[in-house]
Amino acid sequence: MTYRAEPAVSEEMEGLTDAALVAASRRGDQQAFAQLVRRHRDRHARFAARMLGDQDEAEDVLQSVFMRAWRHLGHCEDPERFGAWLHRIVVNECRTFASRRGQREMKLVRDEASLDGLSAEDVTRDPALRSLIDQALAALPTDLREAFLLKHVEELEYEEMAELTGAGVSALKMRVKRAIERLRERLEGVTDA
Amino acid sequence: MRERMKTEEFVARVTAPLKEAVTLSAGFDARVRRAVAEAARPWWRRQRTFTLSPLGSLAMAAGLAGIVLFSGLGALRMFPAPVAVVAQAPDTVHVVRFVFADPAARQVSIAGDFNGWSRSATPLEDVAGSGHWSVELVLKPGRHEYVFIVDGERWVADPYALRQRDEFGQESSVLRVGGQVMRGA
Repeated sequence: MTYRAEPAVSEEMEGLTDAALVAASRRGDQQAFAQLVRRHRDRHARFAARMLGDQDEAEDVLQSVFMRAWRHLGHCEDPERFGAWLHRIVVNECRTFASRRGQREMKLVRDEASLDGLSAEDVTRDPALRSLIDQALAALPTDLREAFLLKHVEELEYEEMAELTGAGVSALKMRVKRAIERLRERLEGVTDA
Repeated sequence: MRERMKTEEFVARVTAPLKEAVTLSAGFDARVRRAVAEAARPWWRRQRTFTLSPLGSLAMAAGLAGIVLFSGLGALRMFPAPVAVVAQAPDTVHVVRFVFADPAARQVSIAGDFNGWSRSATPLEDVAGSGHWSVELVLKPGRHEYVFIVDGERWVADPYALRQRDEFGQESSVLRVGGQVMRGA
């Protein structure tokens, strides 16, 4: 028998604030925690998938993130900002996983495709170009990839990034700059914009 | 200024595909719920492995025999009748073969308490290309819950195993593996 996992969360749960759900979860209410998962999972799925370059691994890491959150809810000092607390766990878990796995072997095939003269929308639609970008991103060191994604994909301010990563603003700016330089080197010839 | 514009345009092109939303698989919530439920169990009800040396097994058996004897004297009657506890041999392993048939499936994996309900950690293989997917796992003694995940999306209970349904209506399979054998003396 086949089921599609779509848990029925009560309307009452949906109306509760993060702080109320965290409080209920701390009392052992697993349905309250399930609502927190539903509320926050999607916004972190993209970062994890881009950071790890693999959606299956991203899902496993995200699952691990929520398990850590469940076990350590008592350490969430400001339940109103559960999302920010969870985001820190996501960043740390992705960093740990990516570092443990090491950098992937990248085989960048030049002249396979070109971004020249294409709009951002064109790039999005072309699987070959997307693959080139994914490979170039995956070839970045973990700290540079993390900083680039937080700044230019998640569109965070440097102060927010500093809070999440524990790194200083100056260091983060440098990482983003170096990430862009390396991406340009990798994509040179196909991104001569 | 011109260089800065070039950088912004480059970043816009590179990040356009990266900003697309990522959709988690349909079973994600259920896997997290299962894992949370497992973590929320009292420690004595969680899946645990105790590896004992032969000497340790003897010591444990002697201890258990003492408890049984004590209860038999009426001071603490834990069992309705005298029992003998057979400690499992420490080198016993339980290899369980999971089989799932679906010729239309492109990939099949198994998620359960034994792999943290991971969608990708334990894939099944269709060696013959006939749609008969299988994997052999070494499992700890005890009760295990699991499901098959087909094509990364469909959550399928094992048609040949006991099933249980959680409070959300999600069904999974239940398997009991080995463990301590308790029988009347």
